Amino acid sequence: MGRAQVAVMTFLEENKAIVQRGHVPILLPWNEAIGVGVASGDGVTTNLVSGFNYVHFSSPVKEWIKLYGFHINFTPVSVVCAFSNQTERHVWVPFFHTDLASMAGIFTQANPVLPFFRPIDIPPFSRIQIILMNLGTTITDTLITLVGVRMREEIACSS
Amino acid sequence: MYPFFELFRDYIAAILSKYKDYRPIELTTAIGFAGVASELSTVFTPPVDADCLLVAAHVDFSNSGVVVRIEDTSSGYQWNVLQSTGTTTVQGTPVTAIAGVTTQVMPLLGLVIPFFLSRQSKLKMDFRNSAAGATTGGLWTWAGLKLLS
Repeated sequence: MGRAQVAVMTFLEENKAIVQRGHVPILLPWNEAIGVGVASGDGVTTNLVSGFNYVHFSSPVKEWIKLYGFHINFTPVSVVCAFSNQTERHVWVPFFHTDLASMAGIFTQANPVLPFFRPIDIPPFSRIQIILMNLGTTITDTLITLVGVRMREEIACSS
Repeated sequence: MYPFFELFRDYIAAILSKYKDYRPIELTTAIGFAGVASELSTVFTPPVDADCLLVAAHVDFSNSGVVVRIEDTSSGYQWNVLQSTGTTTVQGTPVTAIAGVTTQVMPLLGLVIPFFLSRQSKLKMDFRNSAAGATTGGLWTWAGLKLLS
């Protein structure tokens, strides 16, 4: 069985209830932008202040999410990070000195959304924990974006 | 080009199998920024008289401070979840997370999963210019397939 078939079979198995109701599971683009750091005071941007440590969580949603990668809209000089999926007793970055640039794509790079080797499943109502520490100078206008696919029951249909 | 399309090959093939043929389509929308910091601009993709499968996006400027919210007007599906921090309101996803930029190696950035845009529907795109170093003008292009029945 090929990779694609495995993915579809796994998806159908996970969403058996939906399929049994005769609904069509639809895969939709999903992304979440999180202002990381502290509010800058202008109402729309956040800053990663030098020497500070920040903890953020993605928002829980009621559907399965397949997370494909992260994007950041700033250049992270000396920003270290740790990530984990809240449903697992497992931290992706156990020692908290991993460069953020090794986990997230930067907007100036050829691949602005740095993909994981395999997509990460986020179960309904779970969250991704994001911990950042800025060991360099203060960085302004800091957004981290989670990019993935949302699996939803049929939302529109024409025949 | 699009590393995860392989995973969804059957899903995409199932959509294409419902149609007789397909043609390339490029849906370009002028954002119309006046170059004012944090200004807002709401634009729509042009309506198409056929179903479309949007595969990738492009913007003609490199400004990671510009953010966008996207909504399908027929289904109401919002692409973005936005999380504010403290007194800051996050008003969109950086355009550079969704669209490729003219000056990049890959000026068309593929979506993780192609988006099915039904006939005569439109994508509503709410842009916010960056708080510093605002962009003027701006073009956003969706690239994909027009599905012919």
